[in-house]
Amino acid sequence: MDRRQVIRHFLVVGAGLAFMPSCVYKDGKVSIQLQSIQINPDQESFLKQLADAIIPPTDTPGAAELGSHLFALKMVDDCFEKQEQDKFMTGLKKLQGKEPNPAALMSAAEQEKDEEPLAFMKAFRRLVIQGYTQSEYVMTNLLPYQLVPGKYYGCVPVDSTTSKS
Amino acid sequence: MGYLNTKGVDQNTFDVIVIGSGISGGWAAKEFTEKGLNTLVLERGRDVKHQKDYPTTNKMPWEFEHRGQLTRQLIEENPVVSKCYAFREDALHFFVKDKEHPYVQDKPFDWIRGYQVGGKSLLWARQTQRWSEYDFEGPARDGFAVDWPIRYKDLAPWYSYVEKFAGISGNKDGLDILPDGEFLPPMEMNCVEDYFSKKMASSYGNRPVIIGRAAHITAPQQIHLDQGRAQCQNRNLCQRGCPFGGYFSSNSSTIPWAMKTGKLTLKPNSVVHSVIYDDAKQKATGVRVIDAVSKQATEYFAKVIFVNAAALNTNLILLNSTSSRFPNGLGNDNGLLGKYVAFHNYRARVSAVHEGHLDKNSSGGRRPNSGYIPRFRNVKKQETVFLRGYAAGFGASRYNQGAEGWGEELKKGLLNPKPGPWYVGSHMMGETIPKESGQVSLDASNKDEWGIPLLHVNVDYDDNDEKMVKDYLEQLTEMFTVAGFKNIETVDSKQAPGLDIHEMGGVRMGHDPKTSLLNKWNQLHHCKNVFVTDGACMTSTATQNPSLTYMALTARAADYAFKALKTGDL
Ligand SMILES: Cc1cc2nc3c(=O)[nH]c(=O)nc-3n(C[C@H](O)[C@H](O)[C@H](O)COP(=O)(O)OP(=O)(O)OC[C@H]3O[C@@H](n4cnc5c(N)ncnc54)[C@H](O)[C@@H]3O)c2cc1C
Ligand code: SF4
Repeated sequence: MDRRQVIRHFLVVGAGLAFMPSCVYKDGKVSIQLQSIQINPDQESFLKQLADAIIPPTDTPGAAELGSHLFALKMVDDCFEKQEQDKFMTGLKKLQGKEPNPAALMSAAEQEKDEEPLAFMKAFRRLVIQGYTQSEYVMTNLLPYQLVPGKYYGCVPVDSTTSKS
Repeated sequence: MGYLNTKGVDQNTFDVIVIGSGISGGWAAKEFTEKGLNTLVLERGRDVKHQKDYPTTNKMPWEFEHRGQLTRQLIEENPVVSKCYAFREDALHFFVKDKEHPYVQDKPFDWIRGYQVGGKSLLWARQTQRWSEYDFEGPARDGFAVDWPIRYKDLAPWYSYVEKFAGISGNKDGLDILPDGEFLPPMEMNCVEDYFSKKMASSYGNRPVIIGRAAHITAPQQIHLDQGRAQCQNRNLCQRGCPFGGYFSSNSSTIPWAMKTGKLTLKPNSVVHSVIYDDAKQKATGVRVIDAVSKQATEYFAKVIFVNAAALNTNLILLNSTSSRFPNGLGNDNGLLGKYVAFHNYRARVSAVHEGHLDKNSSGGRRPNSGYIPRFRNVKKQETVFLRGYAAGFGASRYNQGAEGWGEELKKGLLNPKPGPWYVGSHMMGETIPKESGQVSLDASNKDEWGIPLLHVNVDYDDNDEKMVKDYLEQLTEMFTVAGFKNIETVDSKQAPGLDIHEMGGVRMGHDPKTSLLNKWNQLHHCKNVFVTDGACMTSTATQNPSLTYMALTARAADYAFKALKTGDL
């Protein structure tokens, strides 16, 4: 399979997005079920755009297409402490509606020493990166994960380990 | 206790009963069934069949909802077990959850358990070092606990025996503090571990740094192929259960081996309540079992009983085995049952950055092992202000650098990872001195769902441990400095005892029935057909990961029991 075919295959099957109860956007509904935090469709759409601005589509899918923004929400919902969740949500509310330009949002928050937007941007960046790099697509096609790697080499020249196309 | 099942006594009678199917119980089962004895293994947890019952073993990282991480709810519900590094999304199902089996912490104690066929053998980190003569002579030389009734030479052939079957990889380092075993090829050290090892050798002389000896099949021998086990593939996902049988567990090795003899009856969901002592016959005749699900009580009978429920549960069962002859627990004439419980001190860690070797990395597999520094303190004579000493883990690794920026720049960085600097780290494994105050006991009134009293655990660090933590941090800092490592950071986690998962003692071995519970063959002094060969039997703790020693003690005691049965001594 060439890369394009892989992408198409991926989009059709939608595999790896097992945590998404429904990938379909219905009017007025968000596409992920959450327990402790609440988000509305506008916030979701902001997060989706922001995710794609953090890791954009190029000749390979961007973060949003791989569901990284939904993965981020899942992690905030299930794994964050209440206090971290509150910060994340407050930060999100302060930023939503602004242009989803992560570099600009981050430097503004840093300059204004605005705690919640800063916490939100750091957490969202980290989770989007995690959701992207640990997605089935990336771990299958771009940086293949070996479930059964076989022999361990203790000491090899660096060049032979980093040659990733 | 509920209704007593009075099925024919014959049907419930075996030659040998083994309580528990973990590392030590699995070995007892293998030894007795191979010798042709009808053996009943009673296991309180569910059955876990090799390969078939490893639900997560072939899952890809993205198939875990939280990519391995614990949810807030799991941590809140499991303040104890969630502290264990291996309690992650992929192996949750092999751990006892806090609520399922409560116990009473008179002092903080993190009791980490695995209740299933295979016990904790599915979860262990597979580090396997032999004890040396210096360890066995410790209590006598330094005047604590009681003298071990055995020495290295008594156990050496049994170490060899179990190593060959289990499959232990290691390097023949020729160290008297850590005797060589029957090794499969060693795993490789990486460049920085090798560098540190050489640097320590030239700087100290008596502080060897070696590759860990680990229960992994690095080159399968016929005996491993016969078990249906294959070469370790460096997945480092062992705690999920290994489809190749690459590491030793009861499930992949001893239990199926015993099953093949046709002599094994394995009963999961069978909670042993107590051992039955017959006053007239002056010996134990069997055990009382509560069905884990139906709560129905049954009795099973045998000539010999091996108690292998893991250290603290073995104490619990014996304390709960009361009779008019033994009102305070089986074999407990001296009142020492449950006392002199000790553990390993894992509190301290040191980490640093190594700036060299940037042109080198490791690659290929994920090595399920790391480096090891055997005890170098007080080995041949007392040299420090504290007794005994510590071994240490040592490992070096390189992680990919975090990618910078946003957008296409970030994406490019993520997809073309560059290795960052080398990180080095060490953790201590200190010997603790067993004390009478280190004790487990039964709650006078509170019982669990199965009608068994709750266990109290009252075990703590002492001044010797504090001094040892300090020394470890000082010495490793010095060693890291000598090696030129930078940003050296030290941590005393103050973690509670128990999280080392090397709890030992309570039913200690010794020469004298007045001061010990078990003799040199692991028999209760006062009830000779009951044997204890798990961690409960340990007179002292040394610094080695203990399970290999439990295996060797078990095989040795089973051999003795078999011969004694033949000669009519049992
Ligand atoms: C994460 C982790 C890492 C570890 N790393 C290492 C290591 O690197 N090296 C090392 O040597 N050790 C290590 N250990 C410790 C090792 O797992 C134990 O020492 C070993 O499993 C003890 O063997 P055992 O037979 O005594 O107990 P277990 O393997 O725990 O088996 C005991 C069995 O008895 C059953 N049982 C308990 N009570 C009853 C009852 N009343 N009736 C019936 N059955 C009962 C239990 O369900 C269990 O299956 C580690 C443990 C863990 C969890
Ligand atoms: S590291 Fe070896 S033993 Fe562990 S899961 Fe992998 S193949 Fe199996």
